[in-house]
Amino acid sequence: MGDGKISQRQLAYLFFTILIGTIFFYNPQIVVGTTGQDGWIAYLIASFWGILVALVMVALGQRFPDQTLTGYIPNILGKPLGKILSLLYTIWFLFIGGGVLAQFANFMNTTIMASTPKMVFIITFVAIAFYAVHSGLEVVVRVNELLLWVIVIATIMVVILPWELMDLRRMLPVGETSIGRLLATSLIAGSWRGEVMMVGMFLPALITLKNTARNLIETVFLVGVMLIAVEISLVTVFGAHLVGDIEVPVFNLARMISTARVLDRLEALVLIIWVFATFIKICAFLYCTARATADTMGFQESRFLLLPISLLFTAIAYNQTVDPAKFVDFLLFTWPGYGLLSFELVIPLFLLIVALWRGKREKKV
Amino acid sequence: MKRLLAFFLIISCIFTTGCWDQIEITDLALVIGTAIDKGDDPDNKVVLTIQVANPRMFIPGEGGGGDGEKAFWTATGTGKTISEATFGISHRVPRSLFFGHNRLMIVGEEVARDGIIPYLDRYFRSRETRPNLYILVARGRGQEILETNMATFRSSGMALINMFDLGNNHTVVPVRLVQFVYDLTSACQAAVAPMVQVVVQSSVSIEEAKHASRLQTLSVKGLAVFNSEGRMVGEMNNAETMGLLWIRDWAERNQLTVPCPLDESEASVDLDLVGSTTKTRVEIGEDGIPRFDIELKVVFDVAEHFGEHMGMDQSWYINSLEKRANTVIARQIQAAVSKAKALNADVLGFAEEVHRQHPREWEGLRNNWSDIFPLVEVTVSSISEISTRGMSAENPDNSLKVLK
Repeated sequence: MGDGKISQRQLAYLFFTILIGTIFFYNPQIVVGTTGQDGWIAYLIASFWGILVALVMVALGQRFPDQTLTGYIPNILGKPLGKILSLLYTIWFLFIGGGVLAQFANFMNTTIMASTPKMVFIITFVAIAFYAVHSGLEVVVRVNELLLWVIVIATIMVVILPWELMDLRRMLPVGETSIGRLLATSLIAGSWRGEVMMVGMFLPALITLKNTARNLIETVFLVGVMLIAVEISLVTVFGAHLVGDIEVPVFNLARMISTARVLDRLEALVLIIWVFATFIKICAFLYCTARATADTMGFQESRFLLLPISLLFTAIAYNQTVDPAKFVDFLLFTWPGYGLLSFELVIPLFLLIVALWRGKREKKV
Repeated sequence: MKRLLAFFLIISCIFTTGCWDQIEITDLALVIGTAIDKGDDPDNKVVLTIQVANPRMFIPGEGGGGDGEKAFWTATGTGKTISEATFGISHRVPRSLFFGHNRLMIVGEEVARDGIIPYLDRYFRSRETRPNLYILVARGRGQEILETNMATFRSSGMALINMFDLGNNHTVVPVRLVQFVYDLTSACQAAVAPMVQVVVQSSVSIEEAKHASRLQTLSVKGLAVFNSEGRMVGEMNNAETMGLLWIRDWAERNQLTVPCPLDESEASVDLDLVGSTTKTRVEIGEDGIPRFDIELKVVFDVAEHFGEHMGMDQSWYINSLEKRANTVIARQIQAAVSKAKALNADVLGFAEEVHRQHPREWEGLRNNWSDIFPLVEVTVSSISEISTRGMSAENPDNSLKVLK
């Protein structure tokens, strides 16, 4: 962990999976629920926020090429304040990671495995993720290179196969939603895309920083394109007002597939996406939390932190399971403030401005 | 030690295959159709009837009707809710009910007239039932539909599924639950569902006539119209259904019977639909009331000439048929429009068209659409084209009257 080096392509692949990971759970329901058939515009604006985050993180990374985000924050802001912010980032990784796991367990319960205890999913995933991250970051990214293609192909199938039920006219009229509402919704959707902020923890593991910005922009944009495809498929099959009313729209979309009486009951495709993407995402959060803890506490090595952090992940995921109405409330009103408007965009942007203003660069030790 | 551990791990794989909460297929009761009715007991208002298929009867070569084994059985339960009624059934059925193959939602007429909305939730919330199942309204009780033993198909539920899987066929209009709910919740706030009824089998073999007093079968005919409150307010007959199919661009396999240009009272010509496209153009009049211009392009084949004279070899005859087709289409569309207006249920998708084509003006119309809809004007301009005459030019008989 931390020893291996990863390539540009592996980083882009990794973030593709991370960004697409949890997005199929509640995201389309919320975005289409608030902006109707104009959801794709909100996703387009959200891509812009994601690209902004990626650019800020890469600009910061270029000033401190050998340090992670939590490592260089004290360099920019000074010791006491910087350490506190690093600690806050550590907690952010921990809680969002736990939340991802909690959501996954919740949706496994909602969709097919109704009577399996949540703890089964949580412990299995944390155990495998612990094993993967313990083996090193390069193992995780290598696995992801295989899994990503399965995820992408499964997503494309879920989007295209219900074509018999699609009515493209349901996308009209375009631009009915007011600009303010679109912007507000784009902040919610952008908070998922803003998770690209985590790249700050991975940049030192890269062989070279050349082209990173371009690759990340492409990744964020392609994830946006995929989401727009999902949104169009959902709206044309169900109609905008129905998408906001059904739980797990993407899973329901897969349930609608019945092509030529041969391709039928393809919900498993969505489960493939969930299981693979959640696994990679948990690995990434575990890695980030461990690195951030090590940076904040001033340890060189972070591998030994993985076991206690895995236990924390399990506990947090298990205790974060609240009722679904409350969780949607959190995603609507708290998550943008906790994500894009603070830890994902505003704070990194502030850090970049301070670093530019004070002329901070990496000190050669 | 390591080897021993590995050995046990590998051996354990043999005994841990499968899921811990699996149910054998023989323990499952595969529900293929459900019907909901209203009960007399005020505490148990929901009456749910399920039809369970016997999978062995559907394997060709096996079972096959021998030894009195039935292709399906039905069961009924009552309760305050649909779920409660389901549990009511499971008290009497020694199997686990599985709704994953449920593809029919048959609504009793009484339920439909009282409002369907409370009954929709279960079908969307269930993990097993898929919202792409077919919804239909029974003339009378839904229970009777599922209990019917048909002469033409192994089970009445499978018969309906088969019929709807074939797509739009004449005035049989398959409506999926998602489409139904979409229409009901969209700007139109009205939806249609096909109606089904039990009828006497039209023809039986002498053998069958001896055994049963009267053999029954199912007939899908007409459309039930639901208004914005989810109540069934009326029905559409065949011509009105055709009109609705033209307006909504749903027509697939269809035919049109037009009077023969030479002998209007006696002879008819039957036209087969090859393809059609419909465009609805909306214009907002100065008084704020939208006007709809429905433009159709329809291609026909000649299917039958039921008459005693020639004519198919004449170009003016074919042209006249095309004009007559236009007239019939326009009449059917106007019939559908006046029925929808009379019931004040916008099942024609007009509100959605206004919403799509004039989103700004729609803001003003949205809240009083039910007052405006009966006032809208509809004009039809259709272009029919006859592409082929089928496999013969004229009725093959030399006693045909020759045209002057």
